[in-house]
Amino acid sequence: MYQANLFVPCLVDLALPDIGFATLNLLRRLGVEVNIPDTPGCCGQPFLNEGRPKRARALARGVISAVENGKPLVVPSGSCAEMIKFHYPTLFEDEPRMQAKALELAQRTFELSSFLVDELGIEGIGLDIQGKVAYRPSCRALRGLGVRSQPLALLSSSRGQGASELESAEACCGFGGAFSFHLPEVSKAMAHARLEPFLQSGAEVLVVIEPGCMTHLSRALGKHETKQVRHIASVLYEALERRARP
Amino acid sequence: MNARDAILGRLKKAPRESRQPERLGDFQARAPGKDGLTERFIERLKQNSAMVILEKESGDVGSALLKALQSEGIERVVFTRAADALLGPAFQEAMQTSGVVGTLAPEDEEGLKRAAFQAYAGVSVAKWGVSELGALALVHGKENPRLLSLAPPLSVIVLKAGSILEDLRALAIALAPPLAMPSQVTLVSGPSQSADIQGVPFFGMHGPKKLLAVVLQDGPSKEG
Amino acid sequence: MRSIPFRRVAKDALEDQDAQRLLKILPFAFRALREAALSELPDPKGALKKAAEIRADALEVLPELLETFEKNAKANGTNIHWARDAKEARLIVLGLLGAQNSKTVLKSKSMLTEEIGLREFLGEEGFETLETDLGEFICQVLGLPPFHIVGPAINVPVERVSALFLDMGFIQGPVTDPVALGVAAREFFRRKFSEAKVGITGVNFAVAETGSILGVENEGNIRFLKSVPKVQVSLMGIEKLVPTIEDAFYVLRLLPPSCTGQRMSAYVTIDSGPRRFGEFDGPEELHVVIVDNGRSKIYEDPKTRPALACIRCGACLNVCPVYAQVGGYPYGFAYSGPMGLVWTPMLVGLKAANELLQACSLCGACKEVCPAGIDHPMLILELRKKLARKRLLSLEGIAYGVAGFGLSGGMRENLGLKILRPFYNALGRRFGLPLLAPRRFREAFGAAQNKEKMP
Ligand code: SF4
Repeated sequence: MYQANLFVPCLVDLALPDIGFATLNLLRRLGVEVNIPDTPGCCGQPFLNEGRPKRARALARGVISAVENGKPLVVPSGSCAEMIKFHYPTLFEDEPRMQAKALELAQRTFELSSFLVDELGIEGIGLDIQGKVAYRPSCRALRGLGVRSQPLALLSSSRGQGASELESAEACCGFGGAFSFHLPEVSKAMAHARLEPFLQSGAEVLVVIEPGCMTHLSRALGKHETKQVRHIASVLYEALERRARP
Repeated sequence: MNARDAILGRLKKAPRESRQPERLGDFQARAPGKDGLTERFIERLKQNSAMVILEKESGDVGSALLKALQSEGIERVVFTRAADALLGPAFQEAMQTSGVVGTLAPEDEEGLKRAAFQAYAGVSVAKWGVSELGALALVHGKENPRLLSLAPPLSVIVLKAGSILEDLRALAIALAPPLAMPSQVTLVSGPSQSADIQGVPFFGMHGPKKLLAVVLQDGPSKEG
Repeated sequence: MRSIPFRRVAKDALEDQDAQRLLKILPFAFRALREAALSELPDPKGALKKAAEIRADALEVLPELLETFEKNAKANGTNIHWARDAKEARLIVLGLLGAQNSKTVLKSKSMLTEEIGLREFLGEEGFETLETDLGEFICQVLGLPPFHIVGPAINVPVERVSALFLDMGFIQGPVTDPVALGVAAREFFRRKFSEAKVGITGVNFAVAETGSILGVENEGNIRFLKSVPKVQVSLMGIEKLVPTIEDAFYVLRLLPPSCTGQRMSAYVTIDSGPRRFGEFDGPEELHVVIVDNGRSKIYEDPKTRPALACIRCGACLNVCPVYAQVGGYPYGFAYSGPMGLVWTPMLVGLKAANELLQACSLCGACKEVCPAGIDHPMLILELRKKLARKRLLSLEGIAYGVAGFGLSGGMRENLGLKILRPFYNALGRRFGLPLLAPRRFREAFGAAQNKEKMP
């Protein structure tokens, strides 16, 4: 049986446990034996972002030593995946041994959708996804890891109703971690600007691969009769579930 | 310590990487070979909002230019000496019967300034053309002063088709030492323009409203 | 310098109808034009990379390039002046003006002169400085800071420009056609140009091998300032150097596409010294003022050095999602958008730029378009790090310390979290932060796991 580690980002752990369970169950359903390693509660990204690499380094050290089992590390967050893959090695520039470990871990770290597509080779699994779906890339996964086509591939449904990318999908939604706290008005304006094409489109679900973007955009959307913003893990898992129950 | 030494000293003290400057290989854009140079030059210059006419170097040089000036309604033109020399005596003769009055750029500072600011059109020479950009490279100097391609509302720039280079790299090579650089080289790609009010573009902000390039070519002339 | 109030000004900008109307179009238009212009090159990505290499290579030998430039420029007859800081630079210019018997100075757009506050200073000293770039001129008379690197007054509504020009006597009645307004300004400036005694310009590139300076423009005002006045004063930052004309041209080829989306700007002037003997126009004196003003400090740290590669094209502004919401005013200094975030803090001081440094969500769009190869997010992280070191004892520093400690724990639902949760959620509700779930995933997962294990 295929084995993999699941990294639970702090936001998922503390605020959005549903996404954690959706990811876990999705992976299990797809035949992956999931191990949740005893990592620190956060990958360190917020600390690095705020100019506190020392704190980030301490957390990175904890993560690296908790997943030394050589199995893939799956991360249901584009930015945390980018943190581990891209920034961990740079955090240990002065510690060659740790850096080597960081590089090794980077090799087997995957953002969830890229794990499913690039690693498991799942593509166009013919999910029957209800409602029209639009997709927004994660800035950091898009630019740091080149994750763009994988979620689209996963979301393309058997009915030929593929997911579409909205206008200016590449522009940041304004979450940016502490950014949304420092400049709430600007951050909110950004979210509303990004939601505009979604509201004008026929899509009912806006799928993201970033838990942070999900909360941010959901809040900006507010209670809407027909539209919602969801994390890809939840959408995929529910679709699989539906398929299982005829 | 003086400012110079203080600044340089500080820079030199900084830790530096010894980068191996990667010499330039391919220039980022290449023209379609020697043959297409002129066509591409003209096409792109036109895209840059310039007017272009072709003149036969032998024969009745300047007939197309004179026609263009007439159709622009221009009666008085100031030539740089370089332009006058390039167009030659045959052109001057043709001009005399055309009704267009041409004068040479005065050879004194105030006179030149006055002539340039008052003229409707100034005729200058470009030493080179840059095909890939659709741009003209003017070398300024005594014979080809700066103001005549700048102050008059219509700037006419004459150039030999044979001096059209492929791209900026070729121009860099043409300009490169050991030849001493002229006091000013100007690359002209179009008329003066601005879009500073609400992003709406228009021509003739400070410099020429129109740019007319005259390409001197051997062989049959055709209007473009 | 006092702190730049990014948030407050940004809030105003979000309410500013004129700004918002323009921001809905401007960045997107510039982006589309940029892409179209770059697509003419056989390998746009490769070209951007190569330009970045040229800039990086040049920076590694910067002091030597400056020396070579000085030597060759002097050989061309150019006067070279060095200024350690803004004050020295201003005084050098003042000294040069003092020798002339003209109280009016014409100037082209130059961010460096903005940076060192030249116009204001000369005004205090009794010189009238006239901005000759149309947008900059409008900013000058209206007392506005630049809204965009490329179009400093592009947000000013036509009605306002019309009222201004009416006031100045350029037009006789209200005009709402931008083109007619531009043409009206032309006549005013031509008179000024014809009488100009001193011209102040910036520098886009300086070439070591030939001692030349390059100026890139569309309007023709820089050309006038390099043709009519007897004295030309050109100010440049120490970072503008490249080794050869070929290098300068290579980077130049990418500047207009990145900037306005043009294939090439209407005019590029390459000056190598004052007018030669026997020439009838061009400056009799050419002064180049080489300004440090904090740049050598940026240079000292190899981590911040790459910022100096910037060629001021503005491409990063046009893709920045923060800039696209608020425009240029909140950045509070000569530089805005991502390039402002990496330059301003190093020029005005980190503490003064505290708020400014937060104006980035680290999305990375800027670094993808930069022809100078600047990795803005990395630089911003570096600057935030330097700033954090100075603010260890701030409220924020403590909050991050506590959070870091709390998160370093493992899977367990610890007591700390249980106590903190209601407080945090109360706060979170107020500030719109993501709320904490009643039970963290790890705890819930652990419980589920145990249930599975039970017989
Ligand atoms: S940072 Fe790069 S993209 Fe931004 S203005 Fe400078 S050169 Fe242009």
